Amino acid sequence: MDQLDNIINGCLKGDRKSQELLYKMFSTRMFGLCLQYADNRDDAADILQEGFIKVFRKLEQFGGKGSFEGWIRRIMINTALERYRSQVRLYPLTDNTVKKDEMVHEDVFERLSAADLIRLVQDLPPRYRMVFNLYAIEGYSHKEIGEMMGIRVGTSKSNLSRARNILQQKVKQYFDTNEHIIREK
Amino acid sequence: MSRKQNKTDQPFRDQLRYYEAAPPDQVWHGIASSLLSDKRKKQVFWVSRIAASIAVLLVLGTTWFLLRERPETQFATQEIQAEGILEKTDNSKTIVPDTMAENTDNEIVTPTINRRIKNRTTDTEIIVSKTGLIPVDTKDDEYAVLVPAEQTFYDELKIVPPRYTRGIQTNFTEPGSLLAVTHYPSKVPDETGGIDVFDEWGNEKVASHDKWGVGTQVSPIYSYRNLEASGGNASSASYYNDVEEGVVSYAGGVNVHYAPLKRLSIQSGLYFSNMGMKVGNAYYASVDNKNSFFDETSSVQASINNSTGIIAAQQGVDYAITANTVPQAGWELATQYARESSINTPEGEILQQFQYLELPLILRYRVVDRRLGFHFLGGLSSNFLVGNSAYYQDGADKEEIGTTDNLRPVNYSSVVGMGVDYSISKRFHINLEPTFRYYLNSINTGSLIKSHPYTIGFYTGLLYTF
Repeated sequence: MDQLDNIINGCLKGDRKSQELLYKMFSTRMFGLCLQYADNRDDAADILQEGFIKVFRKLEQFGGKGSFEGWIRRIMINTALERYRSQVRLYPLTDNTVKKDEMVHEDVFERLSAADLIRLVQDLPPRYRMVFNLYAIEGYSHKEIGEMMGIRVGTSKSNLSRARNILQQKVKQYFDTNEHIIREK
Repeated sequence: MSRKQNKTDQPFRDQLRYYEAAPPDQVWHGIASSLLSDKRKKQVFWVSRIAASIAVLLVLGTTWFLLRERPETQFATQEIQAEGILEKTDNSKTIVPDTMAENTDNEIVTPTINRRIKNRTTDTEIIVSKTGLIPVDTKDDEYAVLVPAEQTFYDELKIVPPRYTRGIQTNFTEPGSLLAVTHYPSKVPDETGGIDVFDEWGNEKVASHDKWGVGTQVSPIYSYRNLEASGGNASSASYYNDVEEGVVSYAGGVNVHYAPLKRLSIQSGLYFSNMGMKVGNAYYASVDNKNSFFDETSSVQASINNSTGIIAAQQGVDYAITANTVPQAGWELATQYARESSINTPEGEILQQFQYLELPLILRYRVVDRRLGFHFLGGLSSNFLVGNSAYYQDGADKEEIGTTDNLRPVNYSSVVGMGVDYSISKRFHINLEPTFRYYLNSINTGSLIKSHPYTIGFYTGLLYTF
């Protein structure tokens, strides 16, 4: 922890070496996070870059309270949400309703690799993806998600439900055809 | 159903909560570029604040220096009066008695008359005699003042500080009463007049000003450019900001002034500005030109992208110079037989030079219109491109490599500045003018990034007025 403090202090003084060390320390974990919120790898790289620039610019606001990684994580998520808001009109508002008979047993998800799961999440329409990530992975409540995304609690719940249905549908197709229909990124 | 019990969510949470993946290398490059840009902006911010502070101090200092001259001048005038020698236009000369020399015999040697001066603000009346100023009662609202005959300027003396010097005032028993007397210069024409050297320059009623002037100016200039980019070009602009930098060069020219008003003048003229910038991280690329063995006249051409467009660099048979190849400043070889052989580490830099002939139209307003004056200036300038060259610099070596494509032949810039001027004689004046020129249009026509050059110069010169 002392090492992290030293690096943060170096960054606050504008030391380039410390900035690079801080980036290397968190870049892989944060890129893993960004991949979940992005359409593809390039978008994730953009979010990561934009997010880290904010981290360095706002570092003095951290103040040493709480988890530093949690703070960076929150900045990355906010950056992804801002990006989603700025591009939201570009996405068609298609509805992916799933019939009951298309539902799959939840256990099949456990047979998928992390990379497959990332692709599944990336394939979700952005509005469902955001809610699913925030709720299922980050653990935010619908009320918090509503505030973060500027949507109603009911919308958040509805989006989560649809996200789950779409994911199950995709997995069913995946195992039914026994081949990767999931988009290669 | 609680979220932990949802079996769809669970595998995602377990596998993705701490999922890690290596980001592309260029992410760090982009972050580092932005941070470097922030640092430069901060430096520029501080430099501009310091420059602004210096400018403000200069203005305040100049103003203070000039304003403090006035009381000294008045005091000098009073001192002359206190000396006791005052000349009249009708050749009569009045000797004012020396107080210190004659205060023993207590006699008035100068003839006195009663002068009545109307006082509109107080009902006080004062008699000036050799024993001092004595308030008296009068029936009407007028002063009955005893002053030496023909001494129409006498009331001037009432504002002389209460002290005993050689002068006409004697035996002031109530010095405080002097200060209560109101001075009415308009009531009594000042025929004698003090000698005020500054009035010689500043008296607009008397002195007619020179309407025309011709001059010359030179200046060291710092020139660089401001980039305007949006969307996807913003990262390119950020990259260019990292690898490019401004250069110090020179400018100068001749000018013509016309002053319809004493404080306001219009200036035109013909100036020459040598502007430019540097592109760092220049690579020296050795190229294998297959054709050179058969045809030594074929050459290798490298196109170097930068913020002002493309430098079409014509090089030799089997070598070429290019800028940093990642990510935006690409290069290509024009000859089909040529292919890149090796790119060496950065060795030097590329210097772009643009020369402009400038036709300015500038307004100057003299805020302080004295011998040492202060003025503001602002205007527009039409700038014609007359020179365009690019050089590769490696230490002391400098080699011309080509020109920049798609430069706009005619440009327009705004000009703002301020300056001090000093009149070394009635006709000759020297000036120093910190001036900022900003190109209103982009100098390149073919680039998505708009490049607006600017210069900061300290123009100094000589002006002859007539």
